[in-house]
Amino acid sequence: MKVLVVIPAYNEELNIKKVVSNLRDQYPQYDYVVVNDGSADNTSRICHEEKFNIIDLPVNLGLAGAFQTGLKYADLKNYDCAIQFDADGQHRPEYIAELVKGIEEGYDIVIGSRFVTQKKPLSMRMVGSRMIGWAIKVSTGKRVADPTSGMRMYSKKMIHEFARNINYGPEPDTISFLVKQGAAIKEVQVEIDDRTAGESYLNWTKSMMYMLRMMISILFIQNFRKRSKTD
Amino acid sequence: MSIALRVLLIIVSVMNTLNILRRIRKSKLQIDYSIFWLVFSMILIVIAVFPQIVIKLAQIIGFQSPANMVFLLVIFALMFKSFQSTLEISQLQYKIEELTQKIALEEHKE
Repeated sequence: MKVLVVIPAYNEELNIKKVVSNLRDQYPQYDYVVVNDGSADNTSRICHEEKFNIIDLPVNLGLAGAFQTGLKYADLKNYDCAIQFDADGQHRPEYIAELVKGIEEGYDIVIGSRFVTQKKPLSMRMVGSRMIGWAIKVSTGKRVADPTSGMRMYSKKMIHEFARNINYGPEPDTISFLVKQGAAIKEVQVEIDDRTAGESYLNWTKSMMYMLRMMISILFIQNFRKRSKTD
Repeated sequence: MSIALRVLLIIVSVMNTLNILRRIRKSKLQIDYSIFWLVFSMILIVIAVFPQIVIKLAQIIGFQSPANMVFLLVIFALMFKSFQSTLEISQLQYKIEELTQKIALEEHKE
């Protein structure tokens, strides 16, 4: 299995060196690509100094556009699966092997989930996760324990589909849409660390808008979408 | 609010919603850009179905007729959206300039 680790990075100068060199040195069996999303800081310079495999986007596209760039790269280079991997050190590379297993078993999407064997805490932070999980259940009939986990692996078929289509952001509503359309999905228990440096881009208003967008998208819009034929 | 206005609000809102969904279906519109219009149509439908909300509010604030208040709210919402679109166009314009210059400079180097 040719595995590509896609690392979208926006202003991650504090974390990028540690995260990528750890991955490169300790897990040489995986290929990786950093997609620098038009960072204003030294992210790009650090990556070039360290001779990391990097794609520099000349302007900022946002997470969806940056990640899609990584999948276009994966599609072009004929990878068997690709995983979204945080540049801030929240995702741990030791779990990648478990996710690859899921793809080998024939699943289209494998989510690195915090809540397969662990219980979801009843905290404020998890209210959003619960609401999205509920919406997906209502919309598709399937349970996704950790819909907001950013650690997701996609099969070759999915890579191709994600690389070529509009409205395929790496977000819970896309997952819901694909599950509804018959994609096979698996969750694998992982641990996700807290951010080591830098701050999350989600503030209160943004979180609210994000939730509104997700609920409308999952409960309403996705019912009217059709899956485009790619090949 | 007259029945005619209420029916009109509903018809236009439903048509607007269907139009948006059709465009998403045809991969012509990004979901992020559809949310405002879907919520906007939804609110208009709610106002048309439950006019008491606006009637009460218009009384409290002191509008001559509830319909006037609906018009004003719609104008405000569209002003907000229009300005937001202007901001987005301005940003896009800047990004295109940057991109174009970058490509031209790269080609010049070769």
